[in-house]
Amino acid sequence: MSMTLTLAELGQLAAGLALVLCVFAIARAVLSVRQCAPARLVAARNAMFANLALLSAGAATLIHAFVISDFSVAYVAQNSNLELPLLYRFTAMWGAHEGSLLLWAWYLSLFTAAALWLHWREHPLSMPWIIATLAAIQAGFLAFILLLSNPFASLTPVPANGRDLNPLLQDPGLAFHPPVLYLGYVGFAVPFAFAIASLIRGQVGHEWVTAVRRWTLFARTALTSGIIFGGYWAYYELGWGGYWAWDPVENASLMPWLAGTALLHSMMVQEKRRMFRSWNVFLVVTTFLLTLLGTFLVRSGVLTSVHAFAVDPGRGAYMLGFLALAMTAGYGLIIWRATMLESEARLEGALSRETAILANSVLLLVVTAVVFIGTLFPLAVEVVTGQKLSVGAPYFNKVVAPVMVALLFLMGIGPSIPWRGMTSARFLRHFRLPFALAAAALAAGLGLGIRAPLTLLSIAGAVFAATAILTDMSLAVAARRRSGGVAWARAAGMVLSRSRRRFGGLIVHLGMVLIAVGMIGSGLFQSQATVEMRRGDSVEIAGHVITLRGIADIDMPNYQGRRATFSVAGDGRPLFELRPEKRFYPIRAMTTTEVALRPQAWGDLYAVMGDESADGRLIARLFWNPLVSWIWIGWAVVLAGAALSLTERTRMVGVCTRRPAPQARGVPAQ
Amino acid sequence: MTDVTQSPRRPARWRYALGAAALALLGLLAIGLTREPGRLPSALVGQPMPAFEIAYLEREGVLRSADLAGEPLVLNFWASWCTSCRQEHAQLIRLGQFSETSGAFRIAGINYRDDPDRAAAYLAREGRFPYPSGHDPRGRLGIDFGVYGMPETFFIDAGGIVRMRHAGPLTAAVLAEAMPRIGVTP
Repeated sequence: MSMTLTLAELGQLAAGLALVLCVFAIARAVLSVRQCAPARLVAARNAMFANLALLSAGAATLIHAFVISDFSVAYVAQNSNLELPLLYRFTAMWGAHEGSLLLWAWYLSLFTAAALWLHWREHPLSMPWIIATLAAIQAGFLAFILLLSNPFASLTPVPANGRDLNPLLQDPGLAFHPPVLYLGYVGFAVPFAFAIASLIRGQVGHEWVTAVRRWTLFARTALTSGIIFGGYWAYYELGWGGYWAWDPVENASLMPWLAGTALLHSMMVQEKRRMFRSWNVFLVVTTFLLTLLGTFLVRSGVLTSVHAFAVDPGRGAYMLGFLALAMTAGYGLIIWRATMLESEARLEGALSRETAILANSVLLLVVTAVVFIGTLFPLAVEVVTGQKLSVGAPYFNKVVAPVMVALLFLMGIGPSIPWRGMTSARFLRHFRLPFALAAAALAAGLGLGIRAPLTLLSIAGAVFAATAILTDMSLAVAARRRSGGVAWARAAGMVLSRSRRRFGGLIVHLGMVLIAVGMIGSGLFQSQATVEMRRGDSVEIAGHVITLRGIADIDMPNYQGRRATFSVAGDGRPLFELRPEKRFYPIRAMTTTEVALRPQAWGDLYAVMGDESADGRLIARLFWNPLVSWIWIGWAVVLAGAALSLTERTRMVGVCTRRPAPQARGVPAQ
Repeated sequence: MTDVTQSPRRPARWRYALGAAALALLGLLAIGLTREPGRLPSALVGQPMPAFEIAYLEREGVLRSADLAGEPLVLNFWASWCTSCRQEHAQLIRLGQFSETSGAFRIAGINYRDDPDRAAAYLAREGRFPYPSGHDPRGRLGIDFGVYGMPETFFIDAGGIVRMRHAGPLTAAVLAEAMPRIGVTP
């Protein structure tokens, strides 16, 4: 035991040393500018590399403590158990507040090291401020970890067994939701640091934007994946038939996603057209602040949420202070440099890429504001009137859905129209097919008896966007085939490898359309029934006949429970069985429901077991969720498109500040 | 980059809006932090406590509201399946001991929508309350009290009037606010 105790203490020591190194790096980086001493900057950089090594060691000691069930570490004792399977001992590391913050800090040290490694030569003048910004964020988080949420804290007397990981988190889905979500949150720190550096230097041209394009894309993709994983996990684990509930904690992750998506698009305009400077620094600062706000809302307990995290006012006050500092620095710098942030060019045509992206950014920010207001409104009302209330899904759906439908149309239009503008005649000619098919979809919807205007428009929007994107893709492949005189497959391969960024973007859009289709299907056409059944009773839902066959006991090492067996038949033929469960985890004394789920291309059958009565009747909830799988498939497409786009290396033309080679100047060409 | 400074300086009014919005948000969050999240308004506050007669959890007999009348009362809803209940367990045991030694108030638990065996196992593991609990397996009494989540605690004065309701684990700070309201000096 004494040996392992030392290990946890070593982890704490490593984190403490990492904090000292961050402060050292800030001082060195700032001094290197003041004294024009590049050697100091090298020391600052190396301090941040050492930071990664130290935090890796710290995280490793915590994981080690979980794997060997070292209950002398309080965090391990609270979140693990001797019976816990090995996989969940690893994932338990981020299963609660303290460990997830350590994961946050470790990611930041990793990204800092990677950013310094990748951009060291390209941005020598911004580098001191980039290092100082990232080190300051890191210092803020490390101080928080060490002072207020120490995962290495010891526990005496050492308990014989731990309290177990929260059963809801004993699921493979949760193994991936927080780490991927955090990847996105933390990833936005790098673009933020670049923007801060260029604001401090007063060089707010397109250099920083070009440098962080891929960081932004990476962070945004990770955030997308994290949100989708969370939705997927909620869908099959929580058992209420949906994947998104507009819970404050979900909103906290959606807000940076929306702002980050706006940023990703708006940055292109600055890169290509030297416009939207103030807009971009505002978006990057806002996105980063929203990730901090998300952490604050989740961890401070300031809002009531189903994600029941421990409430601690000390932690909340610290995070609020940290948020205030970051906000002052970010928005303060923007306000200070306001006159430098004027655009070099103006919008020229209404039907131009710039306008489409501006509209996209404005709409996304409107949604961000709607979610923001909806999330914080209960707090504001409570502060002003003292009343408690909550803002529910109807508000969000009513306000967000129309904007999302408009964005669906924009997603089809944006990539197809050129910079600077096009005539309306050409515009109409180009979008002939998408408009025609959208109109056909509208007519088909009306024919099927759909009358809600928003439903009809969303279907038309999805058809429009999908057609426009596919038209774009096929036009590019056809052009390559003609010019290169090659076969279709070859032409497609060439286009994919040569214009990765453009095609990556189109593929991402296609994936987003698939996700939208899945959301329209499951959000607007779900059917559900709460039924009370005896053995042999049948119920019909969406063309399936579901019969209760029996209920049996289950007895597993770490839980006991009951399992119901339903048989499902369609068109008179037996199809498959559904076996929802109710589990009781004795160590935590918690009951969970296990959903039975049968995904199919056109929809999921979804069964949840409720209470049993003494006379053998079972209450069950049955759902037919159309097209839900399209959301998960769409996510895979988004991932593929983003990966394609990430592999294109953006070379900076004309602003490359690789050490000038003075000796080459007078030397004749060799 | 110099062409930028040549453009005539417009009064960038968005600067003030941005600064004001940021300040307003920070102010809101700061005030929000000082709020006690467990302070849920209840229609019961200021009203007489609902009368009840329910079976004891671990002994024979019936817990009657009438038997508890005449003295200040702390009524705590708990369950074995509730993870937050564990956080307030030690606080409740101390409060029960204080009630025994001082005799200034009564305290009772209501085991809410729970299985008696699991509740007994929970008490064996976490420690027994120095006061009895009633058993509300179907949550009937919870409906009378408007119970919203577990754990929840009601503070009733000697006249039988509900003075405060707290949702979430009890803390020393909550007790310091609640006990004087029912005439008990903590």
